[in-house]
Amino acid sequence: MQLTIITDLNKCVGCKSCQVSCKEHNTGGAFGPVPDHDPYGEPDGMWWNRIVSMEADTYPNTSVLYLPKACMHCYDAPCVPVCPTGASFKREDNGVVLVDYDACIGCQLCMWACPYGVREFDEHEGVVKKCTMCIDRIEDETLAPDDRQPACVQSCPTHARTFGDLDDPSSLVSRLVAERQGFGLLPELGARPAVHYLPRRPMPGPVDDEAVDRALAERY
Amino acid sequence: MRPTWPLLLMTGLQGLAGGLIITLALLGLTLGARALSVEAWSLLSLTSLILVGAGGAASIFHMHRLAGARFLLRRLATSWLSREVLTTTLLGLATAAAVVLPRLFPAAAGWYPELVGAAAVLALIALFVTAMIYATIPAMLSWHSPLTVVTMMGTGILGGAVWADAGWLLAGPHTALSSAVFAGLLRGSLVLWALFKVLQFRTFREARSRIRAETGFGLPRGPHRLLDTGTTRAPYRTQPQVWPSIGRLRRRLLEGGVLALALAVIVLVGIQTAWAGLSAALVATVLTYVERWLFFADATHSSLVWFPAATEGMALPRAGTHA
Repeated sequence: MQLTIITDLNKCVGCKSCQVSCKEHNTGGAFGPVPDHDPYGEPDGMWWNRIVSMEADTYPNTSVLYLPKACMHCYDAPCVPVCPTGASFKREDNGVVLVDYDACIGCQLCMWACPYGVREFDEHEGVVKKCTMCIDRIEDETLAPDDRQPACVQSCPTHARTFGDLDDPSSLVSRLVAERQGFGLLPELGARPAVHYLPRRPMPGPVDDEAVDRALAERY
Repeated sequence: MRPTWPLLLMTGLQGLAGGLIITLALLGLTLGARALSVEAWSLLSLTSLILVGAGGAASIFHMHRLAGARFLLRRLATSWLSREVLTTTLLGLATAAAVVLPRLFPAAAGWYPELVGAAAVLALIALFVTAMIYATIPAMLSWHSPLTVVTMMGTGILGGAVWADAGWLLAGPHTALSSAVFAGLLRGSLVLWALFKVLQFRTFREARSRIRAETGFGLPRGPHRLLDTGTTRAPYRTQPQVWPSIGRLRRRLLEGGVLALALAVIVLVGIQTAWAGLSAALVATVLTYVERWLFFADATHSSLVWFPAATEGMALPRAGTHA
């Protein structure tokens, strides 16, 4: 089993509700807190999920793209074998990459090894923290089945994010990746990320006034 | 990459200690126990022990949570850092044995070449293991190269050799011929090291050129231009791989400085007087520090494609944030 989150880049509107809900849940949850130096001022501290905004393509085909970026829970997670204490580990039963804070020495080698820069260092506790795929929620049997999913998935207003098992060929996430050419980031670095993105559909080309007049003339 | 002082001291001092002990072992192997006086063997082994001990002490400050240190040998099968802890500890123990045993048992003074030889084998392994920590990280685009192993081991071994040369010149006895041969070999090796260092500077440049927002995200339908890196603003305190770019001019000056220091060591080693030897050791130590600082500070990590503002000083619009 390899749990994953698939993000449809056509649906993401960059509202950052997943970013905020991640911070909110994990600050109060079993793996928190996600600290800030100035929590009621500038949020300059730790984020396990960041929404990167970028402009794609060139004029006149430009568009704005939002890319939620958190731990990719890689199949060949490079952060795991480098850890000297075994604090970074990948769960065999569901593929989630986690950090055992009790064994972490805060050497930050895993942060160097992660190609995506999604691991964060907690200066207060001296340990490295990261997205847990809300393991405390998805394994909490006291929650209703619909609530047993990561906070970022549950909070997405456009349903851009889908949670499921990538190793199960009949799962929704596997079908989405297969049917819509889902891709992972920085594939050349060999980490084989489990988290995938569904690419933007091509936009229709720009239509000028002449083309509009010509279409109208043909029709009427 | 943030060049923290424990990292600089750890890697630099371990390299010098290993290089010193390896050079002593080579002297013992080629010239026997009589290559150095008993006092010189003792003093140089003790110097090596102090260096490796100071490096080990610095490593404690590299850990931010000491309670987890009891698990440090848990990942010997996969982690070069875990192996470094083991091999450097063994190096320290072997060096300590080379210092302590002849003092405890004066009859063992003739064993210096064997004792130092055993420590030298461990030193070679320890230096290799330390270099592999950095060379085996694909995300560290600047370091993921065999050049990292060659230059890192070279810096340590040659730095230690310059220290040994100074000790040899100070303490003797030695023949003028063997001393000149040693100095010649050392100078040749330093020239070779400088050539590898130039190749490494080029590798660092190539790594920097791979970090381009237009193509570097792995996304289809490029080019892309970063508008906002998320809510966290520069300098991204929790990201050690984010370190302000040192700038083109400063980089050139530092690269030139490394080569100039190497040239100064080559010249000083050739003079073959005690004071020149001591000066060479001093300059080699400064060279080790500057080279290692540049190695960390100028390194390019793949994730910098997401954090260009911090590295290039760009002011990005902060879409979707309240500031």
